[in-house]
Amino acid sequence: MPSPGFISPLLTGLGLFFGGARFIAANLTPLAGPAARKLFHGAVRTSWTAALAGVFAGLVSQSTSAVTLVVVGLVRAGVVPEGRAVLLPAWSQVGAAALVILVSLQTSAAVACALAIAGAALYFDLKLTERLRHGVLVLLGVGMLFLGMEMLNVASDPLRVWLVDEGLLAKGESVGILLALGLVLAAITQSSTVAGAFAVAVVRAGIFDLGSALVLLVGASVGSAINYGVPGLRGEAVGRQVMLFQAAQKLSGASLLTLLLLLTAGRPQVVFGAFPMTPATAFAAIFLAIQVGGSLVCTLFYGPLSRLMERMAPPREAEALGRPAYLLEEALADPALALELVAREEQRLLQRLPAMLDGVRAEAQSGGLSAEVLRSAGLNVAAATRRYLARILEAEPGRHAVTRAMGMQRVLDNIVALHEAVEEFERAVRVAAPKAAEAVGRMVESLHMLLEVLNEIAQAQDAAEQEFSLALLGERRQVIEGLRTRLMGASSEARVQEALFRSTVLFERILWLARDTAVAVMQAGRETLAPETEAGEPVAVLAQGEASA
Amino acid sequence: MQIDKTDLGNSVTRLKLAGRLDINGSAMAEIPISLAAKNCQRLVIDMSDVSYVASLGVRHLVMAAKALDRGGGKLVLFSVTEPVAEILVTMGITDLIPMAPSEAAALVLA
Repeated sequence: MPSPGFISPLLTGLGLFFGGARFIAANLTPLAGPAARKLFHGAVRTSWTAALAGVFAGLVSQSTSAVTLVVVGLVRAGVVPEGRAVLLPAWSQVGAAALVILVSLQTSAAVACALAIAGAALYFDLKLTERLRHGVLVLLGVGMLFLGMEMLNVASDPLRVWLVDEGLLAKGESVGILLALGLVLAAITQSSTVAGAFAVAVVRAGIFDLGSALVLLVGASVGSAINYGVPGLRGEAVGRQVMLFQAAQKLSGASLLTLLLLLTAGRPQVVFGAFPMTPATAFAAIFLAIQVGGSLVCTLFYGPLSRLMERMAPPREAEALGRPAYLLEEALADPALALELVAREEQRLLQRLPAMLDGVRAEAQSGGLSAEVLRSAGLNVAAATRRYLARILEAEPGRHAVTRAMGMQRVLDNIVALHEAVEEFERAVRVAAPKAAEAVGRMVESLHMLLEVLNEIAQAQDAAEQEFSLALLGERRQVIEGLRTRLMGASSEARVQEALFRSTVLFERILWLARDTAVAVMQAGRETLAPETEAGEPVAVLAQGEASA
Repeated sequence: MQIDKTDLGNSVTRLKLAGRLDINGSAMAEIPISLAAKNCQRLVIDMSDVSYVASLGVRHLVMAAKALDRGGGKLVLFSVTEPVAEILVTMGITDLIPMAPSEAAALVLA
């Protein structure tokens, strides 16, 4: 039975240690402010700027998971291309190693000051700015972290005695158990950095020697690779290739560390014999070195690794749909060409709208993507297209191009609204369909055809054909009122009635948006065909007014 | 989907459709409808035995109406059942493709 004098300081130390680490991670990023976020936008120009940005991000956040999530979000939003963005989380491992280094230093005086300042600021409720408050909480986190380590030190002697008495220490020094312990630590903490900091703490406490702690670190690195690799392979996370690259970085580091342990026959301290380092400091130095080594290997072999990631985790249809297909960087030098590509991207978005109803159509083929997925993908592409249009306009392309761009912006706004409305319509129909299947089915087929008509107008080259189809998108308020009255009688259930009512309102709204979009597309087409002067100015007045009903 | 074609003379063709104008029915009806629209000036379609129209089927009708319109011709539907009429009215195609209560009325409109 373990002595009570062993359990309390151990649990207190663990609680303070992990709580402090969380405090630091949670408050450092807000402390860095918008500068850190802006950093990402310019970071991926080259592999090495991405590496530097990654190191800074890791240093600031002390959480490679947080950096990974931010990068995945930026990739998903199309703000940064996925290619070099994978290097940011990989190199954030190096920045995050600062926590491990901090833990290895003897800083009891500094810790005392940190706790005193933080405690006083919080107790006396000083009027702090938001950023200063985050700074105070970071100090509190640092103090908690080191106080936790002091408590672990207090627990270390009785713990060591207990481990020896129970024969566990001998077992605990076996490679297999140490690797398993590292795996478990990585799974619990979801952070190889915290696992590394914990390993430093136990080295300082004398529970494990340097070699054992490094074996534990190999296990933690492999565990961390699994933490990233499983969602990367299973495809549950967006930015799967970012996750897989992280896993590759962890495995590279684990391989380098294993190599070190093999070459030194499990006694890495021989390498540091010439340097005046404590075991804890040596561990921290090795930890930093393998993070740099792992990130360097992945950067140098970026090409082959990327191809391997591509084969292991090919982009799924939903992910491919969420990225623009036509918005080429190179085309920005030619505004007319760039605008043509925007038009094609908009046509691509309009083409998907009918498919958003397939989940509630009897006539649709099964196995298609859901309306929610198509909506989400469509909004991603629309956001990327909006940014592309903004870049065209930033280049001051001339009045004709500006007029065209503004028209395309109007179409894009409608496309976004259509995606939202059609998805909402589909949801309402799902609620109503079981109770009013036939009536709802007719409405769904009608809307499907109208969206196909919109698509045809966008694709058509012939103005007469467009005018003919535009007649199908005419206003029909009385028809919809009649439809609404009939539908509301289909069920007495309040929830179904509400869904039916909402679906008819959305039908009307979608029809209006479709017509407005068709008119805008037709007007943009007329402006494209208008002759221009050499300066890109229109020769004659372009607008011919909207088509009549 | 069953399709019967009758040449009524004077560049008028009557098509009788029977069945569901769903995906399969539309696939069967596509070519006869487009051929009829290409080879005549006025086309009337008997819809009395059509129990359902899907979006694709209506698009074939609209395309036939466009083809006829280009040549100065017209497409008219007649004896449309109520459920089918509701879809067509909601789709708004009745401005482009009129519906008549009988064949005689359809021939007048065409």
